[in-house]
Amino acid sequence: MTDHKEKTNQEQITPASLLEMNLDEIPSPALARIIEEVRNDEPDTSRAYDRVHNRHNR
Amino acid sequence: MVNLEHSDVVEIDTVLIKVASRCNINCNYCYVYNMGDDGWAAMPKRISHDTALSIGRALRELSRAQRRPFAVVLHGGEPLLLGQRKLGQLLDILRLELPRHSISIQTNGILITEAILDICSEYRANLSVSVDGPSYVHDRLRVGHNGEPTHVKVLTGIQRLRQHRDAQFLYSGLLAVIDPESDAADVYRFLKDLGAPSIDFLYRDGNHTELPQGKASNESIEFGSWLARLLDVYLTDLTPPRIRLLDDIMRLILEGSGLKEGAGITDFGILILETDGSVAKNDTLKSTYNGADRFETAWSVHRHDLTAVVNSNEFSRYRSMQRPSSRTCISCPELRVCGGGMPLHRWSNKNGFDNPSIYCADQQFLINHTRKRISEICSAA
Repeated sequence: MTDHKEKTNQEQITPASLLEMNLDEIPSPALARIIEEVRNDEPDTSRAYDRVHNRHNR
Repeated sequence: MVNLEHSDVVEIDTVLIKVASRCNINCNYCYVYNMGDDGWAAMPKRISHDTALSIGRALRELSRAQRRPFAVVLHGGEPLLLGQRKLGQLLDILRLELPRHSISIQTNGILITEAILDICSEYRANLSVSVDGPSYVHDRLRVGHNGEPTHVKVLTGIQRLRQHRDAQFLYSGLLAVIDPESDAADVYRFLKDLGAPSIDFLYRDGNHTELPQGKASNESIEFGSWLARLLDVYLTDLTPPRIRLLDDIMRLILEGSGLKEGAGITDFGILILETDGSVAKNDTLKSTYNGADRFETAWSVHRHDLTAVVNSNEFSRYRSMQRPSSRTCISCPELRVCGGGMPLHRWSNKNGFDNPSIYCADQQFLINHTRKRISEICSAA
């Protein structure tokens, strides 16, 4: 199978280190939100998603 | 080694009710009507009052038997073909039996009226609208029964939704099927400007025997490349909406959980109730072969207890389809993120579902691009 992996940074940041980052220093609001959601172990469902999610992919 | 053992306790987290078996448009790529399945033809056009009552009772009992609630999604065909009166009747029944459950409607948007929105507001049912992007993208494949464009009518419905006094609750999101020939940034900007809090993107349906439109081969990465460009725009936007698919990929990379089937290795409990009250498998399986979404046992809300159904061996075997069986997937370092994708994308006439996804190369490309971008952004922070 053709390998479409891009070259990755040699010193790739680990998920654990990302979750410890200061969110205010992350220039991407989307990424900062995701990091915060994973830290809190629950996506913020206050607006876009109901607390009980539609899991169906359509 | 990733644990692929299934949980013994089956809990349903999504109940999809096919309230209408027909549709007022005829999208070229539709998995319900245009990929070989003809199950819709045997169904009543709209859910009957008796079936609605049976569904209400059945879901009340299921809710009582489970520890946690489930989301209810009104689907089809086009669910708003129910019309104002029948929609109100159905929601009245569901709310009586499920006063606190999430109810949402997935619609093409064309039949949205002020009166429909008032009813949805009254019964706390929100709406997500299917639109593929600007008209030059959307009207290629999302056409009417005579091939006519639908974009103008869809946007009219979306505008009504945005302008409703209860829009903040009612307007839950947009759903777009990826056109790999389109400009991802263009599509992103257009959909963002429609003001939805959340946008989801879908891979086109297809498999190893019938390639998805726009995918040249098993090894090509048209869709992965498109999503990678979408990610780049998304991550640099200072006022982004939520892009569910990309959010799921990022969460999974960060060792969190995904929200929907099609990524990750969570066993979701998705129950499909047809227009006549029969119980079906995930309707997306319709895109593989005729009848792929039907159980051997003819379960129905009119005759069977849903708790017994979902804890049966046959339902358990169906649920286990979410997990890939292919050695390629099981040995893949990205299994926890990719999850083997959607089962429908793994189908081949030769091997059944025992394949990696037809989008394997796309998924690899997207996941690695996402890892790289996350590292770049955080390294610069």
